[in-house]
Amino acid sequence: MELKSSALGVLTYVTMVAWLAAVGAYLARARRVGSCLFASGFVLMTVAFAVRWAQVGRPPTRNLFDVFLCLGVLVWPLWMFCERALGAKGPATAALVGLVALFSAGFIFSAEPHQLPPALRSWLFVPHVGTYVLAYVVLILASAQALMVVFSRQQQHRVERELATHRMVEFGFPLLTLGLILGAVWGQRAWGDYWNWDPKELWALATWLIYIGYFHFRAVSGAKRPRANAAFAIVGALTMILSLLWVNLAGTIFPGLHVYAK
Amino acid sequence: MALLAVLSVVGSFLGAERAKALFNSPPLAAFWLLLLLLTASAILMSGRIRRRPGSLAMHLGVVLVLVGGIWGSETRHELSRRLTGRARAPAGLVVVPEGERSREILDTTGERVIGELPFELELRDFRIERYPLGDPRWHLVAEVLAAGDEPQLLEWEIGRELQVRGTDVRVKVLQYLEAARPVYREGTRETPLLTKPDGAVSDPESDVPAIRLSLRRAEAGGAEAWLVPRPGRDLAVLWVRDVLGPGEGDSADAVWFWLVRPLSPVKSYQSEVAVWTNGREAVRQVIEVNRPLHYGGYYLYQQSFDPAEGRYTVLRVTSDSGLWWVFAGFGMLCAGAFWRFWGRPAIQFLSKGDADGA
Repeated sequence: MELKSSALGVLTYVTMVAWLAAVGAYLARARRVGSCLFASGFVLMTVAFAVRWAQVGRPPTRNLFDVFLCLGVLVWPLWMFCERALGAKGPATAALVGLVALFSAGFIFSAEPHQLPPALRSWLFVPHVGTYVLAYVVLILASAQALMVVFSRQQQHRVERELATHRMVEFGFPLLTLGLILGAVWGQRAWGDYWNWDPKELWALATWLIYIGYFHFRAVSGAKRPRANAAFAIVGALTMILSLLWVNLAGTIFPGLHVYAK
Repeated sequence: MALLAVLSVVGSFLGAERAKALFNSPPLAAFWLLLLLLTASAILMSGRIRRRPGSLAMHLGVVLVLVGGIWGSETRHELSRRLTGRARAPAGLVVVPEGERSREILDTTGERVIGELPFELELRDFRIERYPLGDPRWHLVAEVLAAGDEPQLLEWEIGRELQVRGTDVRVKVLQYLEAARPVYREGTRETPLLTKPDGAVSDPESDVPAIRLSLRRAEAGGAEAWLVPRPGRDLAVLWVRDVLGPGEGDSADAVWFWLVRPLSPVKSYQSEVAVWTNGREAVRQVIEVNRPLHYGGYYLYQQSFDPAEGRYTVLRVTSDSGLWWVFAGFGMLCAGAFWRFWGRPAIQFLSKGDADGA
């Protein structure tokens, strides 16, 4: 647990308070207040992102603090897209996702800036991490929709949210694919192999395969089995979180090439 | 797919080397072939896949990746070697001393020759570039040898007293000279006389940092001592018992301090190489991480170097067999996914909008 007294830390904590209040407002059916608080958090996070960029002198994607900061910045705009274009419901869950991301950035991961090691000095670094972060946000928001499918008692809500989950997974999956492929291309340039059988690569492949399984399952069963479809999306997101976090943190269990992401 | 997902998770617990061995083992080689056949069959037998360009591209992409991966695999290379008696080494290391040439491909341990490059590689120069140091002051480190603990990096400031963890030894930095010029007196213990070259031109060959410490122990009082590295060295050590005298065999007797040159992180390491074929220089290039050299069907990557003196480079060499199939597959997979999940819905949305407008 690390408390950050820097400007970056203060911005993060204020945003967390705003988003916690947004969750409360949404639950109290004060939707307009919730939306204002959620949006104001995004503005604060954008400022925090700019501060971090200025601090490290490059797009902040070096370590898990940076990644979670990016997740925090992207939650609101991607939620707005999912809500308006893909029919997602339940903004409180989105604000909650943002809150969890910022809790990790604010309290768990160190913000100490590090120089880039030779392997990370590549034009592929930002596109690879950037596409993955976009995919993470969309697919985690999709899994939040999927959770609502699992626990929803009304048939119509279930059907609507299952459809929204499906659209969100469809939106996030190409980004996940691009992130995986950019990583492979980068691995080829940096290490001489597009695939190194590294633990993080294997978890990323497992995640990709679970989503492929989701599409095949849904292609066969359609929307007739909403809970099973939703369970696939939730398992995919959980595997994705494992590949992001556990692999980086448990270096002794998963020794590999991605240790610099700690 | 489910089996591959499960194997991926299992492989992640094995570490990269063992996972690689698992996925290249004969049963898994059969699995890859089966997966290839199943995917190709799905394309041929499913009209639904063939009718949808996005799905078709994704499935074809998987086929290409599998074909390229199998063709470039160690198992296929080994099979070729057994059947035809000749095959490229799929991957290995090339170690080249500065100013010399080599064509030998070594295994990953660097001890066994497993093949030859079809050209000679000359290392003309090797360079290590480091980031500038944030704080050029040398590190002061304390270690309690008997305890077997990790060395303690001391966050020192002039005049601030610090305690060495696990002992009653306290240390205070009284003075730090960035560029002292030690003069060693003959016939005495190695205690240098120090002169600070004020106004003199700093000479990195003979100037060294020097730190004056005040050491204290609960029952032994205190004393001062200089900690000064020899010119050209990166480390100086000082035993507490040499300064305060032997104690009563407690942990403080096993405490020593190091003054260590700080090393800034490596920014890049670069091998300037020349490729020689038929006695002529064909190519010259600087190889560094993320900037490989492609020549004669091989890629050469900056892998490592002589950590002590930087006198040789270690390059990873990989055959490009099957690589372009794999990359073509990646392209199709990606294009297919974006068309299937972004392009087609966007067009449907826009067409619906037009229809509504009409």
